[in-house]
Amino acid sequence: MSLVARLRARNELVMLVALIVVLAIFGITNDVFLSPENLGTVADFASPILIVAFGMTVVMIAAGIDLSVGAVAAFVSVVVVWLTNNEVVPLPVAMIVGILVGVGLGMVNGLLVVLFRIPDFIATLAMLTLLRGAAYILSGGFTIRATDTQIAALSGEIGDLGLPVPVVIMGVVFIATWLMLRFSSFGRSLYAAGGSREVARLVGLRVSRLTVSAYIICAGFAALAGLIEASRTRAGSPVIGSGWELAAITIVVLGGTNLFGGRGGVVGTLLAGLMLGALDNWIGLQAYPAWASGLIRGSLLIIVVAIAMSGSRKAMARKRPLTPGNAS
Amino acid sequence: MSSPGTGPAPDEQDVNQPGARERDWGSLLSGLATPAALVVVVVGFSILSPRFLTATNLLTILSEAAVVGILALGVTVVLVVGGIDLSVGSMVAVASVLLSILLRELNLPIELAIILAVLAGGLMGAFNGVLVIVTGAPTIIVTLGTLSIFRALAQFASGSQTTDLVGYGLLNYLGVGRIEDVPVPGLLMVALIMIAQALFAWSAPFRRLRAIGANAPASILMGLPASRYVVGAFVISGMLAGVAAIVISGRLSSASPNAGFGLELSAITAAVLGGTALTGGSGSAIGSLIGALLLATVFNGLILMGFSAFAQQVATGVILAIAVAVNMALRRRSG
Repeated sequence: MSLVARLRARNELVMLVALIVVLAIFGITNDVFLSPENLGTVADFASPILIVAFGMTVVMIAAGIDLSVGAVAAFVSVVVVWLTNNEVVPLPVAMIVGILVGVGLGMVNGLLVVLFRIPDFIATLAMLTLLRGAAYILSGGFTIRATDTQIAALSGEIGDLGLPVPVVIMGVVFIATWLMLRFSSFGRSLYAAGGSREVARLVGLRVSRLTVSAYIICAGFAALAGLIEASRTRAGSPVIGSGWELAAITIVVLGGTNLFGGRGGVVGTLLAGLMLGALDNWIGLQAYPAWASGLIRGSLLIIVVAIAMSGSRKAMARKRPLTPGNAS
Repeated sequence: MSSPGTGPAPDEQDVNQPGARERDWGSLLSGLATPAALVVVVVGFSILSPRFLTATNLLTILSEAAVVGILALGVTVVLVVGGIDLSVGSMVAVASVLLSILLRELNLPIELAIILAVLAGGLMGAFNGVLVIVTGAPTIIVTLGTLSIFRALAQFASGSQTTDLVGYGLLNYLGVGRIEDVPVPGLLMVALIMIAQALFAWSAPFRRLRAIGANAPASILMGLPASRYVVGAFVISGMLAGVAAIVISGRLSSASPNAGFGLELSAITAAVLGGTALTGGSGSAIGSLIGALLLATVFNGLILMGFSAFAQQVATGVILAIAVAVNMALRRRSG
């Protein structure tokens, strides 16, 4: 096969090389960029959206999509701060409640898709709208400052190393998700269900249950990311996570996970997320205008997917060239 | 997504399902879900708030529905041909910024500037369509990419500044003008949707859009130049985004690179409420009108009843989920 095809098979390696090249270019053009402090900042600020993207990867491997992630994060941030400010429960308990709320919302997403047969795009779009509204109502439309300053611990640094806590959390989530997808029977079943729902059903997999689980994982991760953002700003806010849904999908697709399920993984997601995080940081350091980021992100997404499609295109695109969706 | 956001495949239908009569009832009912919801909402608010059912208020609703309705129409055309357009909100921003540049920096006559802004929308739509055809990438990805690119373009061209557009009579007229008390943007939306509805009913090319959306391989085998129709659908969506940009700029008397932010999801919501499927091949222009009216009515009614503007979002989410769930259930019953 062509070079492109061979490279596609080594997607994660290509991503790694690309990341190194990009970091090198950024480092050459900017003296500050490669300093340990700055690289720590890059990882720190990329962590919440990466955690969201790991969850999105799981859903997309299972051939779903979740537009509600940003709204889940916002809603959870408001709930947690509301619970502590009103002294309903202490902060640690409120955080656990927040994660559980996320898990519950993920279950609702999954059930809307599986039980009520609402297309995933629409079900999670409805949840996005609903939860954003609910977060606004609960917060009165304002950012609510957390009275318990302990909330900042989640975005602090660990020990003398100066390792940002969000990066540690992100690392743990990454390893757990990677192990789960790669080695657990649940993870392998997700790929099977995402690859072909019918075949998965025929070999006896409980496809509906797998789908619901994927949405639960995704929303749980989104809730965790919402907590980190709340910690960073020491507040709950209905605007946390605005646009995360599309940002996460961009990262996941750039990372090589198939939009239509069955293929991909979190390694590519990690590399893509770090690359985009580095891009934004570099654009900031160089004092380039903010639109440069949007331009590069959008172009990169289209170019990467176009290259990825170029091989499978003759086979599949002929069949369904137009669906929002045409299979890859 | 298994196929464009379809979620799990429906159970296999019983081949021996009794008769076509039931089938007709099912599809008829599923088409009536949103109109019925609209009637229920209107009746409910009329009972709950004395100020709701007045001519003035209903005309306000019509005016509030205009932008989303116009965008939803464009999104519907793309959905019908089997694609999706996430870039409409960003195209609104570019067209709005361009309008301001044409008027303030180039001092073009207002009529010409408006036409050029709409054409620029069409050009961006063509860019979307050609990218889809050339790359073979899914429309959701291409338009997600151009969502970023067009927004960046608007920020670049405007220097991230909002500019005043005060004192342009025609623009103001299209944004907030009235003909015999009837808001011009509302009339514009209704007129565009009626034209589209007529085209879908009687014009062969528009009917072919539906055929391609329903079954692209078969359409191609039958010799339809599917690519051209796809590009055409995106051009229509882009031009309607241009029209929406005119209405927004006229209403706000300003042009902003942030205009239309997030409107893509509102437009898709309205289109889907109107019974257009994400899977292509079905959908109607009237549907997007009803969907947009439903959203605007809920917003208006809740405000009149003293709820915060945020309650509307909760209600929209609930209505969307219920409407589509009912729709899916009816379609399953009917096969």
